[in-house]
Amino acid sequence: MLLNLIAGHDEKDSTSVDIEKKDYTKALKKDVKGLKIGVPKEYFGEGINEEVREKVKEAIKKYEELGATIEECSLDIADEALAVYYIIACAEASSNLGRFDGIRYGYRTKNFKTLKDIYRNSRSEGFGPEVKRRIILGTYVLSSGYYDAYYKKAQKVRTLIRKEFEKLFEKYDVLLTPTSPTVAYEIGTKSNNPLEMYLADLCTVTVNIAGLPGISVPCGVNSKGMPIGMQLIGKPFDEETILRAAYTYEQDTKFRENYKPEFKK
Amino acid sequence: MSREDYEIVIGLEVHSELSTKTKIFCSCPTEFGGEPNTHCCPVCMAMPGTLPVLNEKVVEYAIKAGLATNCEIASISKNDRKNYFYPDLPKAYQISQYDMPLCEHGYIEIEVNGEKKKIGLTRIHIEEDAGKLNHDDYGRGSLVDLNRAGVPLIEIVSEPDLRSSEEVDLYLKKLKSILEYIEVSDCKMQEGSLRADVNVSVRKKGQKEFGTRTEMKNMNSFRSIVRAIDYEAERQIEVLEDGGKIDQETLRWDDVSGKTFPMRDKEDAQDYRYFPDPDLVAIKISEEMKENIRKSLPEMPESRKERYINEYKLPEYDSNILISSKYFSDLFEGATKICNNPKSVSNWIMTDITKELNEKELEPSDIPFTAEELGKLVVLIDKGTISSSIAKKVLDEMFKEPRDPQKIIEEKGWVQISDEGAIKEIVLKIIEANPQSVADFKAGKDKAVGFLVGQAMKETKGKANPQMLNKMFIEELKK
Repeated sequence: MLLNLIAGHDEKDSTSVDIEKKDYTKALKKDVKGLKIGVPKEYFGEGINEEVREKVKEAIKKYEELGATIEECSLDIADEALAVYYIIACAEASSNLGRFDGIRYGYRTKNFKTLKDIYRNSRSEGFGPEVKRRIILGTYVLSSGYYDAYYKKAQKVRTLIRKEFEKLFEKYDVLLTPTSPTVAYEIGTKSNNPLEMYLADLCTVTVNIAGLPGISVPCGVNSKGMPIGMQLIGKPFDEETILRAAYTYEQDTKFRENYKPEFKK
Repeated sequence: MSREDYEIVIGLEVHSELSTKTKIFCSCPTEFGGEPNTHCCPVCMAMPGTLPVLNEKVVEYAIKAGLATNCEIASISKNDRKNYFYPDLPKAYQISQYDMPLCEHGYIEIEVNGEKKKIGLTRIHIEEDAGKLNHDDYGRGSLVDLNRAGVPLIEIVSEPDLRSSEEVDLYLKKLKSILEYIEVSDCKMQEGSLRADVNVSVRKKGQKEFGTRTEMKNMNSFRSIVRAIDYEAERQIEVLEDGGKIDQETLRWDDVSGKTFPMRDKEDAQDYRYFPDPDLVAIKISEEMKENIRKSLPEMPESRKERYINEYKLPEYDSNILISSKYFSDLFEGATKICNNPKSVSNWIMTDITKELNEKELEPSDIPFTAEELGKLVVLIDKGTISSSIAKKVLDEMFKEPRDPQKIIEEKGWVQISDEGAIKEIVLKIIEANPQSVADFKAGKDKAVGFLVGQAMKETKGKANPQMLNKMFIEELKK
């Protein structure tokens, strides 16, 4: 229902595509017979937690039982997608956040004599470490002398990634991967290592880079009771197919009814 | 070596505000003036979460300018972000165009000492203007006015083809007139609608490589540009003659002292980190759109000139002055339609109207009255309703408070006396009062008539018909 509301062209957003709106509630049907699901092997190798791998594989079996055709495939630029994502996202962020300069709105330092002080101190005092990290990274990849090697190259690789997906979607209706390489960490355990944090996005950033719809569906818990998710990726603007596939699985396994989460403090 | 051994090389980047109704990425008005921060919205104030939407008219106007200056028009173009911090730039980046401008490889033709010369145009691209800082006179701080932020600009970049301040002056005047003709900019210099960055270098004659250039930014008067170029070229030659080196730097021209000064230290060299704006999509220009815009281009000055010479039988000199400004040219054509006396209209524009503009430091676009009103003024002279000296007074009135010239002469009681009885009465009165002149005439001094006519005009405050006076004086004196 939310998707029905937010879908469609927004005249105040030039990047939104002007195509006909669909009623996505009609896609909620229990039927995956003959659905061709591709499983990129790169998402089941190193770096993916054992239990996560197992649960997602069980889900794949379930789809097979329900009548879908499963086939292993290859998406060998999966690793590059993460690098591309962080270069492009940081570059855009470094520029987008320029407007928080302490002039018109937001935090302004009390400690300044010159215009440069306002900029430097407002931004140093106002932004948190992760934001600063991304601004510095983004500024670097856009700098003259580095632009071609990083930002421009990332945009080129992005096009390659999109083409890779296009090729896969000639054969498959849906691609299936884990949502995250690991289950959720406990609060406060990993925030000191930004690179590891970035790696957690390995499976999900690809769809953003390639411009594809994705949906995450719970498919089990690990030995400690932490939930595990699988991700279904569809063709551009084909949200209906992934919704139908997710709905079919969900209605069959009733994950939500059998899962009693326990919140740790 | 002397000054004559050097050649001056100049390239210009001209910024011209487009006269679209709304801004380039939002629907705020572009109108000049207005209370500070009343012509802005969340988009041009760069509120978080807002997105730009490109105004199609801006693309159309830029393509018009490109076609009128013989440019190739791109089929695909895009917007890029130019990142830098300044309080008048609310997003901390300016949306401009970097490596895929809308128009490229054009030229403008100027006439230098009777010879035609093509000045190459590297490119024309679209971008948004920044806001304005109002500096407090007491040094307490500066206030930001964002009315101008997001007003569309085109930047017209010339090749370094200009060789003297005179050529620059001709080039700028030509460019200004083209932009006026195609109605994409009102080119009001005092409102900053036309500003130029001027790049100057010098080199020994015959030398192939360019010398190191300096740049003078944001100049908004043709006269200052000419003076600044002359000064800067002279300065560079002097430095070189003394065995020195020119630094590549940005200079500020000071109109009062007539000198240039370094603007910022070179360590501050900016890295603008250009990259394609992810909030906007590629600009696609179809052949059909280009063709439609080409067809919509109005008659250009050169073609008008031909017409003036052939159809209206005007001298080339007149025609050149008339086409120098679209406002002159339109005024001329409109007025001629009313009075059917092209030469007279042309004379009024070239002499009295130009004189009035120069005295008041106004531009042709500031002429307050309409072409119809000027045409009617000429009709009144041609019909003998007023003399040309009265007409000058009417024109003064039209500049002060534009209205129908017929009304002006009625209000002021300036209708020419062409009634024979009335003229005769004046003639007799003057003859009686000037016996010496009468004696002179009779002694064969024809000049005496002129003096008497002058006296009669004085008596009637210029209202008497001078031809009739002349004729009647001779008749009476010969009696």
